[in-house]
Amino acid sequence: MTICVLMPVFNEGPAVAETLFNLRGIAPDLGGVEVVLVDDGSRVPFDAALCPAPTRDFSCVISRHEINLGQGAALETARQIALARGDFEAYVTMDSDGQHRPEDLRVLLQEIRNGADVVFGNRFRGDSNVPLVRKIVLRLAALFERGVTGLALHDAHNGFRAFNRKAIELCPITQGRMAHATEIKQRVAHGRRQQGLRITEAPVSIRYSDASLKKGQSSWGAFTILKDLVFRSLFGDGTS
Amino acid sequence: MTLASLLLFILVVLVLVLDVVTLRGARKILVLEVLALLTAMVLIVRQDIATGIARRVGLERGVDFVIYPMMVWLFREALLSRHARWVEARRLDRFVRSVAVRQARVFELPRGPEP
Repeated sequence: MTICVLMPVFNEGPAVAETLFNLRGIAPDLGGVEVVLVDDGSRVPFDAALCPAPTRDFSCVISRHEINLGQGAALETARQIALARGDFEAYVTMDSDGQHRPEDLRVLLQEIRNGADVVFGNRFRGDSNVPLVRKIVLRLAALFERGVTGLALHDAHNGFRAFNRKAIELCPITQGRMAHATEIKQRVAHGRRQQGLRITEAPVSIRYSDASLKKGQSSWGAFTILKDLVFRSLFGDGTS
Repeated sequence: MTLASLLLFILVVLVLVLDVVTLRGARKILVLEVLALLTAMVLIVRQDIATGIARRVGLERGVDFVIYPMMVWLFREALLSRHARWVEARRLDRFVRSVAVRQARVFELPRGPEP
């Protein structure tokens, strides 16, 4: 398999099945896709019957948090499982609710093949229907993250990213909730300074629907993220 | 006794009664609390005592003598409890994750009945 997709799931409906089927459809073109799906304590546990049948180019690893820990924690679990599964050319974090288009994996993989260690998706360069208020909040968040990490990226808290093995190993996630997105950038920035990680952005399209907007982060979530970052800087030792 | 002192006094008595009922199992904590609250009751009724002590150490009002150390103590308690919650949350994360990693399974189609 070429790509390992790290996919947290929390109280998703049939959208997960659709995302998995779309991934299986594109898997042969990409050289094979393995999905590591972590159900983060959904009220109704993820039903494995929703998984498409495995093929030579597609497989799915399923795991579950018995209690809800947050998207960052689910991604960290998926990261650990993925690292134990063997070597992949690219490790991609991706939402399960259908916001991210599996076809965009091509451009992320291509950037990795061109020599990037980390590729951040940029929804503003893709064909995304970002609501105005969210656009403003995300622009401000990108500015904030630029100040915190020193990375001049144009999008913030976009869960569509790709890493090679070296980079994903450098990015353990300790932020259980949504602040993990900023933490990942901090780790990547540290990796660039210490290990010379090469970082780039790639256009991706995010499709907002009423359901995804309702379920996703509200703009006020920015304050929770800020609070989590402050507490981590106060209490975290960088290893726990 | 002023109206404010009276209200404070009633509040302390209510807290005392409530905790005597609810903290029966924790005798040492109860004794400590009763001592602290009795002291508070005395200082509420005899404010001149608190003011006298405060003036001896250079404070104008007796209440400042109580509030300043309390603010420091509350700030410390807030930080310590936040830190304790942080540590517990990380511990819970690690535990839940270790179970999830151990139970991760590759999805396979269920096999049909043997012919």
